[in-house]
Amino acid sequence: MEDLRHEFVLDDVVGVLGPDGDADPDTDPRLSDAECVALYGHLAMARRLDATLRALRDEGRIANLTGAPGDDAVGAAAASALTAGDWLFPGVCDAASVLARGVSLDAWMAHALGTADDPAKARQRPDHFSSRADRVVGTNPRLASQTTQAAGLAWAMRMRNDRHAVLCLLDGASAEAGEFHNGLNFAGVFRAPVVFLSRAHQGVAVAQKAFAYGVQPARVDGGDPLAVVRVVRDALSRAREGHGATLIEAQVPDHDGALARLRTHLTRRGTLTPALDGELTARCDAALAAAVERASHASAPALSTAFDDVFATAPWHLAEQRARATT
Amino acid sequence: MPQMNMVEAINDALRHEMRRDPRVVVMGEDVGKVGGVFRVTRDLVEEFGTERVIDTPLSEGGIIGTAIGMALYGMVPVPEIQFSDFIFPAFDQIVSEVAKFRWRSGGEYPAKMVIRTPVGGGIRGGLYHSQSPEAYFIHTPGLKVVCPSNPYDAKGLLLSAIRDPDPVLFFEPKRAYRAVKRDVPEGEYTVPLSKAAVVREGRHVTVIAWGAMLYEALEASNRAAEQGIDCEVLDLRTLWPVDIDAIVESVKKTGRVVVVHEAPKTCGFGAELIALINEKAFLHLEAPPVRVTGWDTPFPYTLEMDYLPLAGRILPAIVETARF
Repeated sequence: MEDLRHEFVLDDVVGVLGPDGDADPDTDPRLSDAECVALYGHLAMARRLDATLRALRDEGRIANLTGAPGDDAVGAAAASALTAGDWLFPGVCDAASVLARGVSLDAWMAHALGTADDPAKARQRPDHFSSRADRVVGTNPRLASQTTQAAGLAWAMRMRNDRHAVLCLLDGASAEAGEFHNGLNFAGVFRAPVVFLSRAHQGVAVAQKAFAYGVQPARVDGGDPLAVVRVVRDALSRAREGHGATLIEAQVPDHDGALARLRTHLTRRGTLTPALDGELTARCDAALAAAVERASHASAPALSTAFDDVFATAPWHLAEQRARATT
Repeated sequence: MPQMNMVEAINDALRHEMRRDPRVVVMGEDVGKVGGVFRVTRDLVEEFGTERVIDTPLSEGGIIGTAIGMALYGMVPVPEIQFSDFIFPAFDQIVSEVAKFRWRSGGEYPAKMVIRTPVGGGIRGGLYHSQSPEAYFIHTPGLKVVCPSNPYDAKGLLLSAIRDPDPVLFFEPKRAYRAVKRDVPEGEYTVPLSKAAVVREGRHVTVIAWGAMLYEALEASNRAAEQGIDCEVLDLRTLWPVDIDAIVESVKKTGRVVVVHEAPKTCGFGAELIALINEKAFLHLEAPPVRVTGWDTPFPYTLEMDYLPLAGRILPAIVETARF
């Protein structure tokens, strides 16, 4: 096995944006103006969506939310680095990453509000979105349970010479769970084209665990969206080219300033004016309000559908239970 | 027609299906060069290579978790867990993930796989190489559970299980692995899932069994015949979804039923079977249904032949039921 340590110094935290909004030319992912504004739109949507969901929760219309502030912005920036053929395993409370992947707001809101239009038929509580058309694999709230699954899917892609990659988003304490280590171990042994992105808080160190599994480590400033794009993009390229898995540790600041930092950068670049900024935010709010409105008028799944998809075809006992429940 | 034991028949089934379907991969601890702890996957790696006969790290949760990812992508993994006693590190991935993926994704992501694992006692395996954990998995919505008793059924059921759209736990009774040889056709044939076999027809008492205990049920039934009691013996073959029609039909004929299984009595599958019989054939019953099972203790090493519901324990239950 190659010695990964040559490529990585533990104290290295990749950053792009300086305090004045300038991009470090050595690390800048060199997004076009349009790409950069789109990224800004994803982060703005993350903030506005969060506000919308909290309001819906306070009205008692959706179940409780448990996301850590700033994690969603890291997920959104990371997911924006995916191409159509790649796969995404979001964590819980990773709606922003799912939307950055290109999932429609209507589909996501149908999921959040539990309507029959949810691609997953409203069977999970909000923020466990799943959609095969978008190559988004919904997760289970037990932290890190998707780590081995992401490794397995990536490994299958490699066996099939599919030159795409898998992005697996992990929540704060995931690295403490056994399945995290299982997933890293399998990904390392099989050189699976998978990128694990662990959101770490308050200086918790995760990246160096990669050494033990023969996985490439990386560390990034999670409050710097351009740095997240850069590191995730590099790791996905590395995976697609057959060099195996990467574990990225994104240090998420306590006070989420990712949106403000990107705003400063875009303003300095001359791409974002206060007027355009206001327009983007207003567009997010309007889209959210419309999506909530549409989902509010959609019907809940029919009772009989609870018995579908337990098996491909309902066996006798489910047919009996369905008949009893619906008559 | 070749004679095979169950190990050879399952190996033949895997080889047949891997030739037929390039999506099928075998994975597990030492399944490659070593051929598995019971040699069930012997020589498969020579024909199919290390990409389809995959030696994995020693981690059951990792094996099933990665198999899920492969299944989501469209492969058909057939992971082996060395002993069903070792399946518990993978319990979360099986009951929280494999079983629920199709449902929780609205039908979009079936985690279709066949988890093969040896089950049962009577081979001096002791506590952690002898257990029968089928009830946990039958209790979990979304899993099918199969347990063949003979080489012919083992091959035919395994081919059906691999082709079935749903995840299947395929429990292989290790006491019957090499104990029985049968004619096993080469090439293609299947035994359907969820179809029990009436292996002995009779009029007085229905005896329900599966796996290695089927032979004990037959032995007890032969001894009962010497006392004029004519038993009908059902080999369930698929435990879940169970062939309820075959059970009800037999119980309606005999009015008396004895259920035999190795697992502990309390909340064992026998409890569910008797509840179903009560729901569907109560008015046909002539005697209380009886369970002959393992004890509600951990599986004992030195006393395993006392723990197991062998013919000597089944016979008095049959006689008692017949004479009630």
